[in-house]
Amino acid sequence: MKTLAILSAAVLFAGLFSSCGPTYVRGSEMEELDDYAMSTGLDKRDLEKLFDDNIKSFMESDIVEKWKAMEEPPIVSLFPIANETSEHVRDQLDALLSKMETKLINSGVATVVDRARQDQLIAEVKRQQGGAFDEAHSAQVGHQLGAKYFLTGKVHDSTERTEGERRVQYLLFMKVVELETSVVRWQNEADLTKGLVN
Amino acid sequence: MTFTQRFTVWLVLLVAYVVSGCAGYAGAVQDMRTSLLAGNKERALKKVNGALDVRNPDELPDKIKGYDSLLLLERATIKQGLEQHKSSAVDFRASDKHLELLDLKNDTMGNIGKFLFSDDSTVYKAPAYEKLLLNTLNLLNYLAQYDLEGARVEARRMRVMQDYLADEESEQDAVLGLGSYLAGFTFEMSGKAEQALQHYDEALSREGYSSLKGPIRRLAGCTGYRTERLDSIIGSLKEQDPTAQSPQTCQLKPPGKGTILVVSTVGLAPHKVARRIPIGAAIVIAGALLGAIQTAQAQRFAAKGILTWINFPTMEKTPERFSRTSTSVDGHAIKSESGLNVTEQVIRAWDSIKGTLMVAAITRMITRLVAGSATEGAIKAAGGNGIGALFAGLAVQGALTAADTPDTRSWVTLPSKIFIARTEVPAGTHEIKVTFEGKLGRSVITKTVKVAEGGFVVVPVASMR
Repeated sequence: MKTLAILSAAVLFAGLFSSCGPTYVRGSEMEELDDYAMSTGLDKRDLEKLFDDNIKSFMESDIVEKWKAMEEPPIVSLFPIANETSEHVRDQLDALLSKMETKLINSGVATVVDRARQDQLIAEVKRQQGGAFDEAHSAQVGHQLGAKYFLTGKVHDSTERTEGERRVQYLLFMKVVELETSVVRWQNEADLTKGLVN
Repeated sequence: MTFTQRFTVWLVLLVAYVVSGCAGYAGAVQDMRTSLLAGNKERALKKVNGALDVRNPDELPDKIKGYDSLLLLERATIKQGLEQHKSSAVDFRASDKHLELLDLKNDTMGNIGKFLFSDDSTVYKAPAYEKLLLNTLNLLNYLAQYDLEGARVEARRMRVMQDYLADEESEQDAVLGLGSYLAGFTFEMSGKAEQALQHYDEALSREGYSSLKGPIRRLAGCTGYRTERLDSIIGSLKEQDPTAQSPQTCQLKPPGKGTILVVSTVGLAPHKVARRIPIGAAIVIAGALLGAIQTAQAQRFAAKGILTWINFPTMEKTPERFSRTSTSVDGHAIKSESGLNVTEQVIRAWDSIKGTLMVAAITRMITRLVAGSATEGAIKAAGGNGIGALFAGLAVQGALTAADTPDTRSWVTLPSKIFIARTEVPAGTHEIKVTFEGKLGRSVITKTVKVAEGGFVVVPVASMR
């Protein structure tokens, strides 16, 4: 009885005072590290899914076939994907666009305009428009950069919350617009869902 | 006393020690509040970083635990007061994420502990007004940085929260006039007339913002969105000025002008302080929520002189140095109207829950007395020494009393009152003057801003005292 009591106290002490603190790890040391969802935002795995869903459609599209057939690859601007969601995912959307840019450059199907120069022009338009920048302004900036097409997108969400959970359903629309005619030459939709459940 | 009896007493003492919260949240933020009331926001920032156990003001704790989610809110508000809007937004977002986790967490052990040990045992569930003010104040951060995309995200987050609160709590709790005003402003400046009018209509359901009449008339021509309230405003404007432009004409922005919006705040919101409440008054506060058996038990202990007071949080107003603000642009006064009376929100929310909390406090007190008596009785019955049994019983009772920390958690750096002043000015450079006034003094803050045609400038100014 006495021994049992002492053992119980020891277990209680261990439970009360144990502190398994956080530890830094490398992705290569912990294979499943990228698998965990840690928020309702967009992580690396989500970006890869959205990228894969879009790039396959894009590279197989008529407009890319047309670009491949041109003597000189056309000049293309990439404009920030508009965030129309309830999540602060600006950095992740910029990362997604950078992935698209990398693919465009490495595939050789298009010449991508200088992003620094483009960002400067966008900032100038924002200043003139009192803080706003939208698709109408994309055409204006694209013309100034000498681009023939621009690639951009928009992401929306449908977010709902109940007492026990929160769900965010993302819908990403990417498109290529021909500047001269304003005609949409390619468009694709990709979706994914993140949640916080009890 | 047998070994088992001694072991039981020490086990109770140990658990009580572990769960005791010492001075509670009020103690943790005392220095921070004192610094703010003395007008020293920088010192308040240092104090809250000390409470968070971080050295760098932009650093987040490695693991957000205990009071950290509330302390991050305090730090975010202080940084906003210091016009560190980018950093403040990061803190608000971190706190928002963590408060949501706490909200959704099943806290069975905490709820049991609430009736046995301490009100402080439960995870912090922010009241409705705090949840909405988090999005509202962070929206202000993004507007101050001209970040319309970030502001729209916060406006949407607020909408998600509003829908949730309307379903889970009440329609009354689901809208804060100021939050809807700023959300409407965000969509107006983003060129989205319909969404702007939806939010403005919602704002007007809570407060009569006269500064919205002009923008509503301008935006009405851009969308078919109408409500009775909007129609009434458009109609009354036409009556007042028949020559005014017809609402059929769409004007997303005031022609040739930009918009200045000044959001000024005074004082600090009421905060909780632990007080000893006489048992008679405590039973009144608990009211009909306290069961007949518990009421009888409490009255029996009170009659014996064993139960005389309850340790309980009370909501106390903070003395204001400033009670109002006035604003001028280029020397011309512009109307400053009430954006939100936060003090009223806090008091109303507190009044709606204090009965329930008092029931828990009385139950804990009865539990302690019963535990103490039971310990003493058990030891005597087992042939233990009478004095030893008495001390053991008192020790158990005393430890549980020490562990019972009244829950003084609340967002203490919220302002007492928020005022808004809006005007349209020609594009160019303008001087804004905000005067804080009250019984104890006067203070003036001057800012120079540049406004683009069709653009906007949002200027948050906080006295925090």
